[in-house]
Formats: sequence, structure tokens, C-alpha cells
Amino acid sequence: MARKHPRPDVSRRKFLAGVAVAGAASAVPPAQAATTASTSAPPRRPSALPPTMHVAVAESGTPKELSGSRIGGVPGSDFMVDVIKTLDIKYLPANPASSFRGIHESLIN
Amino acid sequence: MPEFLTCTHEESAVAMGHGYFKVAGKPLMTLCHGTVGLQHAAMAVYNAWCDRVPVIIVGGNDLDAAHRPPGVPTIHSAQDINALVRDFTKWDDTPVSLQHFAQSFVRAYKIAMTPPYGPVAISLDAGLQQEPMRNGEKVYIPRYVPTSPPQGDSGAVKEAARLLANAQNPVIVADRAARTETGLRLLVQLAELLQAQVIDQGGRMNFPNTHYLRRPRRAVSNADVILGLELTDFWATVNAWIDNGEHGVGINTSRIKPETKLISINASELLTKANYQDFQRFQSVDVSTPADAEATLPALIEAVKAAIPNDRRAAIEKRGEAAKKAFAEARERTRQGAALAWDASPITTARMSMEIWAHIKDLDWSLVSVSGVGFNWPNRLWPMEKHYQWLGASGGYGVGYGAPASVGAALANRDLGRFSVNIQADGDLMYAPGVLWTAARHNIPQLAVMYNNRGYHQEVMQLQRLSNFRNRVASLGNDMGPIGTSIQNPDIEYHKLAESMGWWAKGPIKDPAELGPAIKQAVAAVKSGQPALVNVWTQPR
Repeated sequence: MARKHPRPDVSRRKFLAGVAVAGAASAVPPAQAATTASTSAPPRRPSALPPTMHVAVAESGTPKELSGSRIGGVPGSDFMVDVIKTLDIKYLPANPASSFRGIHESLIN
Repeated sequence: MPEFLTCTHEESAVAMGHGYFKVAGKPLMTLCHGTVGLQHAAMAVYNAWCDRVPVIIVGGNDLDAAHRPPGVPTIHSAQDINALVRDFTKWDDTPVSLQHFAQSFVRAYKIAMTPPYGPVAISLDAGLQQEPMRNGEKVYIPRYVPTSPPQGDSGAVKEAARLLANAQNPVIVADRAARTETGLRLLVQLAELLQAQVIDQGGRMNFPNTHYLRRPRRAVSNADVILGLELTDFWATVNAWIDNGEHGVGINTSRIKPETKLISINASELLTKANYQDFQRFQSVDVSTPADAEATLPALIEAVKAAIPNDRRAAIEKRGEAAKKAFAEARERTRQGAALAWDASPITTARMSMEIWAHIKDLDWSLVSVSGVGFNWPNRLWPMEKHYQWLGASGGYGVGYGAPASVGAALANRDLGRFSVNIQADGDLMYAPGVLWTAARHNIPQLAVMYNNRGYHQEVMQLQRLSNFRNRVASLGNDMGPIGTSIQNPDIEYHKLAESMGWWAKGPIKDPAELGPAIKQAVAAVKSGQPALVNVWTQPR
């Protein structure tokens, strides 16, 4: 739809792009440090490193932008589900897909 | 809140809604991915359109070209996505605000549920779904009030009644006339009032097959008045088309006397679109009533009562006596026909039908499949008196309808405590067999008996006949049927297919003596709540 109205502070698209960049940047330095620290007897290179605290938080914690009223209100698809509920439709057979993930998430939660 | 049922194909999801409606009388909604999902769904939508069944299709789409994710989501976006199905849906919309959605969804439901019923499509913008409601945004949900079905004009009803009441040999032909049990009862009432023979074309369960007024299709030939109720094809009801005529094209011939009066009550006349040709050939009729047959029957019955002249009552009663005799003779012929090749292997379709019947006759059963694809023994041999015992066909004859529609119908029957029987064609199942998994995953029991003739037999016959017409022998390769029409070498092990998706299954059964015990076991599994499949090798038809 055309976005005619000013939106709340957090844009879903800008937010998602921001998380991806932050995660990629913070994952690199510890691995480089492990390979360049010693010159004489290089220790056996581990196949995987434990994540740093920063990475762990980025991957599994609740990002600061998302805490609290993270999307600035009730998702539009929650209201859509309220509309659907009034018609007493018993089942919804469907194959899942990204283009309706908004309403899918509202339906199951 | 609708319960999400995981489907493995959009076509299956829509067809499940199709089958569900024909038992429950209530629509289901489905969610459908942008572009490719709706393309997958399209054939099932066409079936629902042709069969006058409501399904609510809600599709995802990401309209904003400046903000949507590039790559796949953009490939799956469209400027006017519902254009894909607009020719065979009753209505569609692309709401651009939440209030717009609320109006559109309630309107879509209302349009879908107004006879003639039909599928509707609502496209949901991804941004509209995901972004929050604006602070202080006031939205409301419109109240849904059902629309009453269109009833026939009183003048046309009166004229129809006059023709029927004064006819020597009136014949009623019904296709999708009985939307509910009420429609079935009303049709019995009208038929008995006139002692008129009834041809049930089977789009729905219109008339009990145990009633002495039920007659085969050829009964139109002696009629002087024919009442057609919600006919898909009035032209073919009163005319015949012979394939491969003298010049290699079809020949048209009339099945009726030239002076026969024709009456049509058909709500589909209110819903004719131009592109797809499901409206069939044009047939001139004497009384044309664009109205819902079931809603018009009460007025028609009253008008017929008023129109029957006193001096005709004895003649009408006499018609009934003749019909009873003809009905008894036809039953006997059916029984004799069913007994032919009783012990043959592969198993005859009549034997298979009766082996199933032996195990379901004491249950509250519902036939949830189209046995008429290839044979119609259950319709001829099983006593069918309730509206849910026969659900009609796909409408659009889009193959692949049978399996998912049977699962949808079985879902509705499960909730009503009924036992679902599906005679499952092999070619039909192979379009999207994943619906077997959906049935097991969501605990939707049914008894599926494979009508496994190992071929697309209609096409076998079409090619053989055309080859004969051209004075050639159809080339079989190493198969039973002409090249390209067999489903064998290797034979598909449908019992293993079903078992792999959580079904109780047994087969392949080729010896008729083994069939009864296998069905007995399968019925026990179904009663315990599991779907069960018996893979039966059958004669072609």
C-alpha cells in the first residue's frame, strides 16, 4: 500500500537491516584475533569459537529497539484477525508463506 | 479463531474448503502466497466457481515497490494479483487500510455466502499486515447479516406451475437444486404432488435414490414439460452430442419431442462471466427464472397445488403407479448388472462398491468422493436418502479435486460424528498426495478405498475410439492403454505412500475374496480416529 501517513519511530525494514549489519560486524574480530595472536607455535585452530557476549546478545537477546512497545502499537494484522473472528470460520487450511507472515503470526499468537 | 491446518499445496487447501462446505454449509478461509501460491490454488478456485461453492481466499502480496524486500518477495508480488482469478471468483479486493480490510472481508463473506455461492479473494498487502495501527485510529467491524437467497418472480412461478399441473408427463431434472436437507425434502414434496419423474444429475444430493419417482437421464424423451432446477447444462439435458461424427466432428441431436415445454430455475444466470465457458451452450426455454431453486420451491409447490385441476388428479395418481413399476424393474436390472464378473481379478467396481457397503451400512456414513468419475455403482446400489450421503462432483472437472475435497468433507463429518468414505481415484491422488499427510497430522479420519485402475481411463477410451475412427490401432507401448495414458510400470504402491504419511494402509488387493477382510480392518482403524487406505486393483471402470 502507499504509505501516506507518517509512521512511528521504528520502521520494520530499517530495523531488520540494522540488526543484520550489526551481527555480521561483531562476529569477525574475535576470529581474527585467534589466528594472529601467536607466531611461534600456532595453537590448533578450533572449528568453532564460542560467541562473544556481544554476539550472543545480538543473536538471542532482545535488542534495545524491540523492548517495550517495540512496534509502536497493535499490529495491523491483529485487527484483521479480530475481523475474521466475528465470522466464526472454524478452520484455515493453508500452506505457509512469507507474504502473509504478518497475519499468520497474529493468528497463532 | 480459525484453527490453522498445515497443507502441502495451495490447491489442496482450497479444495479442502470446497469439500468442507458441501458437508458443513459453512465456508473456510485459506491463506495463499503471492503470485505462485495463487497460481497453485487457481485450478481449485475454478472448481469451486463452477460448483457454486464459497471459499474465502486471502492472499499475501507486497505492493510497495520502494520498500518491499528485493529478490524473491518482489518476484512474488504483483500489481493486480487477483487478476489471476478474477474470471472465476464472485468478487475480489485489495484493501489499502485496516478499515478498508474490515469492510472488504465482511463484504467478501457476504457475497460468497449469497446464492449462487462462489469463491472470493482478498489480497493483503504485507505492509498493511505488519505495520502498527496508527495511534488513536478508530476502526470498526461491520456486522454480518446473511443475504436472503433470490426467489423466483411470482408471475414466472405461476406460469411454471400451470404448465406442470396440466402436463401429461412432467419430468423434473435437478443438478445443484438442494443446497440443504430442506431442498431435498421440498423436491420430494413437489415430485409427489405431481407424481413427476425426477432425474438427479448429481451436482448435489437432490432426491433419494430409493424413491420410486427417480428415473435415469433418458426419461426426458417422453416428457411434455421439463422443469430444470439449477442445471449446469440445460442444452445437454435435452440434446445429445455424438463424438466423431461423419466428418470427424460432433453431431447434435435432440433428446426430446419438439413441442416439449422447458422451464428453468437457475441462480447461475445471475452470475455469468465472459471468459471461461462454464455457462455452456445457449438453450432457449419457455419459462426462464433466474432465482435460487431451493428458495423458490415453497412458492412453486403452493402454486402447483392451486393449479392442479380437479379432473386431473386421477391421471396424476395413475402416473405414480406406472413409475413404481418402472422403478422396480430398473432396480432389478441394476442388481443383475452389478453381479457381472463378480469374481474377476482385478476387482470389478461393482464388487468393490458392495464390499465397502457391507461394512458401512450400519454406520452414519457420508460418501465424500466423486464415485462418478468412471463408475457410479454407489449411487445406484447404496440407498442414499440424506443430503450428506452424496456431495456431487468438482464442478470444473479439474482433476486433483477428489483427495483434498474428501479430506475437507471428512473434517466436517468428523465434527458431526459421521463416518466418511472416499473412493479414491489413482490419477486424482497423484496430483497432490501431500493432503494425506494433512489428514493424518490433523486427525481427520476417513476410509479411502483406492479405485486403482492404473490408468487415466477416460483418456484410454478417448484415444482408442479416435484411433478406431481413423482406422488405426492405438499404440500401447508396453502398457495396458495407449501410450501416455497408463499409470503402471512401475505400479504405484498407494498403501505405502499413505503409510509413509501416517495412515493405516493395506494392499495391493487384487483378489476379491481378500477385499472384505481388508476393509473390515480399515473400518476399525478409522473408528479409532486414524485415516485408513486400502489399495485395490480394479477393472478399468
